[in-house]
Amino acid sequence: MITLAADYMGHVSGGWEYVYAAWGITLAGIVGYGSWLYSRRKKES
Amino acid sequence: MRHWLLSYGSDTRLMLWVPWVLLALAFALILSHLIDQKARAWAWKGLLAMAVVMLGVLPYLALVWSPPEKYQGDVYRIFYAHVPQIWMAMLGATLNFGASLAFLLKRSFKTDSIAEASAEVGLYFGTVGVVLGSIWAKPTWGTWWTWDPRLTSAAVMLIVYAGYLTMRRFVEDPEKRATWSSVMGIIAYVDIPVMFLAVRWWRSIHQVQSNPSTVDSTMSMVLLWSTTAFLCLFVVLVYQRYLLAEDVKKREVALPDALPPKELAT
Repeated sequence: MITLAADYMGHVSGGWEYVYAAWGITLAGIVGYGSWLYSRRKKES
Repeated sequence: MRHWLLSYGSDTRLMLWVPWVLLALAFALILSHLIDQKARAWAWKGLLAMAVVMLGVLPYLALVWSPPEKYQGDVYRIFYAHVPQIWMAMLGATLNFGASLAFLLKRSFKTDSIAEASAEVGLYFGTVGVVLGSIWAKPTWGTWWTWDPRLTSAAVMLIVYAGYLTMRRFVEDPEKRATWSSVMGIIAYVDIPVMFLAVRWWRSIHQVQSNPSTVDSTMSMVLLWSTTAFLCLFVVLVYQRYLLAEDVKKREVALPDALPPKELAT
């Protein structure tokens, strides 16, 4: 339990769409930046 | 598995710090010349494998294994991706600061390459971290964005490091570029402690930092796993970006010789 968050927050129900969006962006970021870096290294070496 | 981890409590948490120490050691060895090129290649491939495995398991730990939070329900699961990525952004800025300072003291272009690499990788993690924070804010604060001191200083961080990288692209002379960007990197770092302490100084809407005593042990262990996974990724990306910066510098140095003299060209 994150007790510090309890001071000003009400109970949040559901919200899986936000969770999936956040993790989707994380995955896209890793794949996107990783691929961009890999392609630049290939081009330069 | 959960029962086993919880029964060991703080000892297990302590054990999870071991990879951090090993990672720091591996990173120092990779960047230094204490080990030969072949060993360095194996070291970074090992870290890449560790990052892939840990990040592969992470969605299960964060989305399935970890229990819902008492007040936020499932939305808090965004923290497992948001918090470590903001930490990696701060780590990138810190590395940039150290490398910038080292360049001004030693005038070694390797430190300039480390500064460039850490700024770009830090900016990447910072951008994703801020976007994730915004997604979390909507269902919990009721807004995508507010000019809270923590959020504002995070936005300043992104703008400043984007400016830093843009400036590097416009200065052609490697010596001037390294010097100017080192000065900028040192000044830009002022924002990082402000960002870290903003939640304590101004006590606005963004909550202050949690610690293991205020967080369920299952959650803190998943957060530690997640942070270690992103740290492995951070090291791999910074190392690869560093090698790219070194390749570009070699080309810049080789370029005048490769081109015909101006008189002959005209």
